[in-house]
Amino acid sequence: MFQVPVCAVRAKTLKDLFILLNEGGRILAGGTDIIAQAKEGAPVERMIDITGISELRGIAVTPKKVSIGATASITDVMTHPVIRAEFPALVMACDVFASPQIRNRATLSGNIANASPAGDTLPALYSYDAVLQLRGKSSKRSVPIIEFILAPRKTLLVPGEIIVEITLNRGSGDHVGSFIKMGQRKSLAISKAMVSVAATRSTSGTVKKIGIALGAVAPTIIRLPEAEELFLGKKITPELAEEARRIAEKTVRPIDDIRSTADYRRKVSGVIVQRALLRLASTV
Amino acid sequence: MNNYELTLTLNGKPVTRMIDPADTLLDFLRETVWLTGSKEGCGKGECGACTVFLNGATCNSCLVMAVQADGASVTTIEGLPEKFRPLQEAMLETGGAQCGICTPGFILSAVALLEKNSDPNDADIRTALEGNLCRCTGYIKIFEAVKLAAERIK
Amino acid sequence: MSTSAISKAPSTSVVGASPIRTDARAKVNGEARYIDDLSFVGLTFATIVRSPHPHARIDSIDPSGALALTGVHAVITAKDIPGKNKVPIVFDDQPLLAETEVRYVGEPVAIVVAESQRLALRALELVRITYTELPAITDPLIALDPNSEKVNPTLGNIVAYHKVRKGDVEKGFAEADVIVSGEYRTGYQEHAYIETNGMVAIPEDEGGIAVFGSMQCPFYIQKGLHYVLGLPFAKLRVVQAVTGGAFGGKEDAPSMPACHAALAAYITRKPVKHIMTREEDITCMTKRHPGIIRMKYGAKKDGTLVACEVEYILNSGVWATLSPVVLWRGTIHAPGPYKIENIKVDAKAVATHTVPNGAFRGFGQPQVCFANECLMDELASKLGIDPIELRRRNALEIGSETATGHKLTESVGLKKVIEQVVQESRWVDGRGRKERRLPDGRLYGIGASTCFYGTGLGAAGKRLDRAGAFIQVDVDGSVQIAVGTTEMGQGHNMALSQIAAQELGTVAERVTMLPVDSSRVPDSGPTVASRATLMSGGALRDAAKKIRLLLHETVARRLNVPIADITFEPGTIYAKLDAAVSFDQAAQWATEDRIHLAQQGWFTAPNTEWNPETGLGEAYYIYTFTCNVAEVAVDDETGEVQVLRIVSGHDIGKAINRRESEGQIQGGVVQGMGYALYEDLVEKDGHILRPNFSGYILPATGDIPDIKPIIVEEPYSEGPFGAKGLGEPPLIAIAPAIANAITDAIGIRPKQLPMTPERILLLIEESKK
Repeated sequence: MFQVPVCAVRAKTLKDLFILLNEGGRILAGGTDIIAQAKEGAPVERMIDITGISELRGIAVTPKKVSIGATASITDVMTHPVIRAEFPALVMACDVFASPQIRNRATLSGNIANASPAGDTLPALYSYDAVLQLRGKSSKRSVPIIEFILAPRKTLLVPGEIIVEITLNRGSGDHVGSFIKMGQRKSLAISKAMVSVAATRSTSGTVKKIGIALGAVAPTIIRLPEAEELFLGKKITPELAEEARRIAEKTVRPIDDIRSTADYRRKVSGVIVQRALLRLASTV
Repeated sequence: MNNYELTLTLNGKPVTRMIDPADTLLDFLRETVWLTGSKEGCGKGECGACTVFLNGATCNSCLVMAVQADGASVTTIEGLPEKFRPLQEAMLETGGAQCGICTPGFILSAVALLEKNSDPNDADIRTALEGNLCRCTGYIKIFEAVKLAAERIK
Repeated sequence: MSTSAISKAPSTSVVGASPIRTDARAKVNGEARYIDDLSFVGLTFATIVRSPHPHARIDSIDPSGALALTGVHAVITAKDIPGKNKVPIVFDDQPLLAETEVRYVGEPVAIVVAESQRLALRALELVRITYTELPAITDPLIALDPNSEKVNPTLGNIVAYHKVRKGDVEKGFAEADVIVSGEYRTGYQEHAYIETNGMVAIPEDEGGIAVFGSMQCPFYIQKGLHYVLGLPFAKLRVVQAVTGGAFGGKEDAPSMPACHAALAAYITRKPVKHIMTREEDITCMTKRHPGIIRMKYGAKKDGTLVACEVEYILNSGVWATLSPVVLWRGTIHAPGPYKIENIKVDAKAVATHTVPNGAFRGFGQPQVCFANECLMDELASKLGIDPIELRRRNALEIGSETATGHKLTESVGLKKVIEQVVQESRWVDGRGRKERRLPDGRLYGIGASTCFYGTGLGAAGKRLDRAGAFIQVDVDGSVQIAVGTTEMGQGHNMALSQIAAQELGTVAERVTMLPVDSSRVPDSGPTVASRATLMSGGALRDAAKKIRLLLHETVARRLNVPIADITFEPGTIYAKLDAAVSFDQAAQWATEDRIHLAQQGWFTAPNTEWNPETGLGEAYYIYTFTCNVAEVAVDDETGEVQVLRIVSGHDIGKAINRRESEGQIQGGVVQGMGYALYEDLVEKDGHILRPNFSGYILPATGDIPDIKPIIVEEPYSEGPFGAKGLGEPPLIAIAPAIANAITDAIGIRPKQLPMTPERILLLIEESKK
């Protein structure tokens, strides 16, 4: 039950949506975050449901890219065969995302728009250089996720604008990935630190492309470009993983909160970066 | 204010009601159509006591606005398909229900599992039930019930 | 003649077997009616305006904004209370609604009554209260300073003090070869029953009030209503609804929401429902007291304990509620289940400007047991004796005296429990392992604990320790029973149905438990202290024996045999070897013969004697004994602990229902594991941070270890079929078993609960320095 006045309206088409958005309101997709926030007293007077808009549904695949619609659920994403084959770190992130009930409702677009530093899919999306397609009533733009999220709960979205699609670029090679989440318990946990490593390897096993991203250890998700460079053109070795650990420890900017301490987060950031990389070393 | 006309398929039957667009799906189930088998344990999707099927997939009905169920199909514990009765029996036999407030939610999460996987292992069961909290049983007898039911339903 | 058609009773329904619980079917169907599932014509809804400050003066209350809303019926404050503004538990110190000062975050100030729950919630912020903030003391060690401000206005800052003085503790330590000591700290624990507290109050005919709700102790509520409304007990009816978990959290605490709802119903003359939100429940209702325990053991070289000294401090929260008795139980059990001649215990419950703490499964024992069982391992390590061997050498047995000088004469299964747990666990292999690490690289550890648990209210609650029961056998042989203790999930109704059936000579499936209603059964005390099976079981047996005799007399008369020839088994009464009638037939005959097949039963707890000056005497009439072995894996780079396996053994006298007894053990073990590792209620300056299930972490499905329950049955002569109590023991000694296993793994001892990865990692780093 809401203590604040709340109401929900449904948009049936994108056109509908932009008219409704013009009158004010917040986007309601899976609802797993916004409804919980509203129950905690966040000023969410009007929610505009987009789950009935057919243009925003589904996952489309072309030779070059995978396009995930704004209302595709986490379950849709993690069970999609192409995503499973080519974006394994994202699938692993989805696997440890909340609970089945929440995975069935929550969306990638919602996880992104929320811009929580602890958003579980975000490190994976950062590590894959996801690009967001934004639409307004009469505007359209593409923004890399790393530019889209500005600060905790702050994004580039302007009033009247929504995320319509998340684009993942496909590449050739051997797609490997790993994702480690530290929570307060094994399942149904909010992250206190997490890492995603997404890599593409050549047939010889050397790294062609790699993204390493950490979550819940800085105001936004962070990439580790310095560590990524270590691996380009090389195989993932325990020595390099150890080096990446040191880079992670000095790069993170964690805080104390109810779930953990800054000190602890700093230490385990290094540990999980190293472990995530070692898991890939052992898969060769 | 009850100014939204909601039409859905509820436990296999068409239902139309005027509702307040501030209602969650759980509010609608409990207070408009008096299906009180879905429980509110936390209101934030953290305990799973309000689990129902929405268009074939489980959700926390406390985190769905009722208007989002417009045109949808919803199944609650009261409309559990006959095929899954053995799951309820297994919960009785293993002692999976103590205070019982979490039980309908666990049963629906287990149904979602058994619909996809007729022979789940221990890890499958734990993952399928990870969105449901129980404070009485220590979960073990619930896991046993799901295993037992899987054998019988197969 | 019907004597031939005998259907053999299924053997599954007798005492000691595992019949399916009769209350569970409605639960798995979603048909069980919990309090929020009940509705009434004209129902209104109450919400509570609560203090946002840990300590403040109330300068003014202006309800006009709320009252101006259409559909808001009333805003009720302390001045509207017709009786006393006190909710009684042990002392009468807690107000129902704050008058001039608020003393914890969440303290009730006013009640809003409105035509819908939504309106009642929205009206809350329209009740304007102005406060002047006052300094708050939230640390019990500061509150203990004699110069500190008085926190509890009626009792002062030490709301309870207990002691034990046995032998000469100084002499004992002087004679000891080895002394170990340490300070241990334990955090809050939230009950986290999945059903929040809720009540419905309804004005009744003749000026009375009926209260329905989620509760453990209807008679506590009845007394609270008597205080607040000033009505006689006979006009106050309290009925328990199906209750969705309690664990002590619905013992004393529900008297508050019950009195709030009843006051609202009394004033508005409308049915009033009051259901708490999860945040409200976590913020405002009682929890397990945080504790500080300073402890010292002295022993001879061979491990014989010779002295024990304990200082035990509990943070009571602002009001005393049950703190005096929680503290008492902790005091009595502090030295552990061992033979020790010289003991000194000093225990204090201290008031702070925080939410009142109260009953929680274990009731003051888990805190102090964490300390004493960790310290026993320290002692074992210093002496070079196996930790279980050290416990075995000192274990209580028949003929030995407890810490309070209670000489044990029967039902002491501690050594038997230890033997069985050692056998079932990997204790010998685990302790003797060569490899410190598991194949996955984590450190392995194994640890043990023991404890004892006095069943029932004991000497401190002696005046409340009696119970009533009612049994009625109808013409078809079906049976209605009623008791004054409550089912909250633990299997109470089934265990009592089995006891009643067994004593009557029928099967449990024929027995129906009526809802607990204060108008049907007299005050039977609280459903706490693992006492219900024993107490209500005793009362039911009393009633059942009377009815059984009437039935046997009927059969003897009808078949014209002497009563001495009558024998029975469940479902059947035998007149002589070849003549048998069914229980149901006998019931029909008795009804036709105008025999009164409805009887009351009564059971008074066995006596206890206690000297509060020395802290010596028979603290409890009987004890349950426990031994646990826990195995853990510790990730020494992240501090994460995974419990792999727990073997948890208990001497409970008799398992009335074996399956449900195992369920109690598994559930208690997991709660104990949560207390040990996950459940961290963060309180800062009197405010509980993130009071919900994403802030307060319960064990979920992924965290559950392999749990092996062991039941030992050393019968207790006064218990029903030998039973003692089981509800609480499974939780009490889990945290120290896990702590001892962690210590075994990492080589350094955690001394604070919960043992979060953050704390464990710091310890590991410290040990490397």
